[in-house]
Amino acid sequence: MQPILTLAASPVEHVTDKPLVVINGLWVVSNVTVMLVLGAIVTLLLVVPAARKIQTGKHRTLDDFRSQGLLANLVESVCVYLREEVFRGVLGEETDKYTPVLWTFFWFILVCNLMGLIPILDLTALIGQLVGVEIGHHGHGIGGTATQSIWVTGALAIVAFLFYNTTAFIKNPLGYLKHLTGGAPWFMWIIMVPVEIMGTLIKPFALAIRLFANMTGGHLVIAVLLSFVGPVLKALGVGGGSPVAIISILGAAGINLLEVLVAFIQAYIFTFLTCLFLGQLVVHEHDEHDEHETHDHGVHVHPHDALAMDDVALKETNIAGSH
Amino acid sequence: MNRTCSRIFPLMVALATTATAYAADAEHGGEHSAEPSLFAGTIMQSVAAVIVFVLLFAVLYRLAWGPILKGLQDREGKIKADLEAAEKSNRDAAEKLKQLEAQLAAAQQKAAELIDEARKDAQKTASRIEEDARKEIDALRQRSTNEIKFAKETALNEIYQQAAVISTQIASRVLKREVKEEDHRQLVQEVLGEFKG
Repeated sequence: MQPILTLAASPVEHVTDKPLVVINGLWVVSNVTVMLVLGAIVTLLLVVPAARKIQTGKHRTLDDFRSQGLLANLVESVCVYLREEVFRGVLGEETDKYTPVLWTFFWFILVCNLMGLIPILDLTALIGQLVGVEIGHHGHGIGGTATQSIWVTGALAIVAFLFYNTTAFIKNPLGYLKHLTGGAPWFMWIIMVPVEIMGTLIKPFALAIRLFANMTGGHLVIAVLLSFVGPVLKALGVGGGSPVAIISILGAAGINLLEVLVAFIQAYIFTFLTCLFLGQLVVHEHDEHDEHETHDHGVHVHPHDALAMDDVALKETNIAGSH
Repeated sequence: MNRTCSRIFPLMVALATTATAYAADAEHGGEHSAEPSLFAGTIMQSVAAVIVFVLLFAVLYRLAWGPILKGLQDREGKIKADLEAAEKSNRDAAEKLKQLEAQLAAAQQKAAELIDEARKDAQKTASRIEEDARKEIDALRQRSTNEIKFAKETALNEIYQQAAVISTQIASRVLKREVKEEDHRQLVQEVLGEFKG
């Protein structure tokens, strides 16, 4: 039987995905799969009841236009912030058309990130040890962080990639192809087109690796800190090992709090960047025509500015997310 | 210094022991000797992620995002409509206020004119009443004077006539018999009595 976290052989082993059902070498069901489904259920349980209280009532009285309850106000404030302060600045009048997909990215990633901070894996392993049943892969338990798997973040990034490219292509095929020239004169296309295609293909990698690395990094630090406890207590006994154990646990608790912030930031960054990439492709053709209007409104983000904002966001996120 | 060293030393030993334990574990092999990969997983996790995300989006779109977006749009519409209505009401109220102020000013002016006119009318009426009263008094006085004068003349005429009649009667009586002093007195008394009667 495998020990729980504090006695785990390797911190890396603790944070990596484990198979639960394997068929022909494929992990048909793994800890990550379970956490994905749990994350989706929790997201539904969080958002759907709130939506019922946010939606407008039938009687059209003043109360029908108000969200009532803590959950509804929580969900609404986040949704309204994203829609008004993040999406509208990039997507302009087309915000509401794409908002549902972007909201789904945000809430799903956020819930998966936050659920990863709950030691479900260790609790299930502990329960398994207590009742004498192997829960999960060799008694490791079932749990973990779905967004800590590159396979999951990669899939989400590919969904985002397909979403914004398909949307842009369907909306304006010629504009989409024109976008690949980078607005350069025709004799530069031989250089610009490959560069733009590479840029387009690199974006989902940036999305996937950023989320994966940030979530893994924090969890790894927590696992490393907590993994000191068992061996130290074993080697020095309770008296000698307690100071190290206490420092490790306090450090892990501190990092765990930081991880809460990182969970929000990473969900936000993934959604924000998807929105920016979409905006670069979808809103691009409007800029040439609506330049004057853009200046008037003052909230519209030019795609090139969006790229600059992306860089800044990346730097800020990596600073906040690096441990 | 020694005490500090004695406290730090066990910690260093503990950390070294931990590190050594990991190193030994990795070297000696066994079930956990091979360092697990951070990229552990298979394509099935990606497939699961896509399926879960798409299903979640489909359900949320129907049950949550649609109603939330509609709620937010309705609210925005109501706020916008309320603001426009408030602005229109404000404009209407300002216009109404201007009209009312103009009407009030006109009414005040008209009232002042009416008061002035009424005052003049009252003064005229008072003068006329005074004049009429004076004329009536004068007429009354004149009539009274005339009546008194007429009555006086009438009375004097009657007196003269009576006096003439009485004188005639007296004279006739005097002529018919001798009148003694006592008779005379009695006669006079009778005449006077008749005169009075």
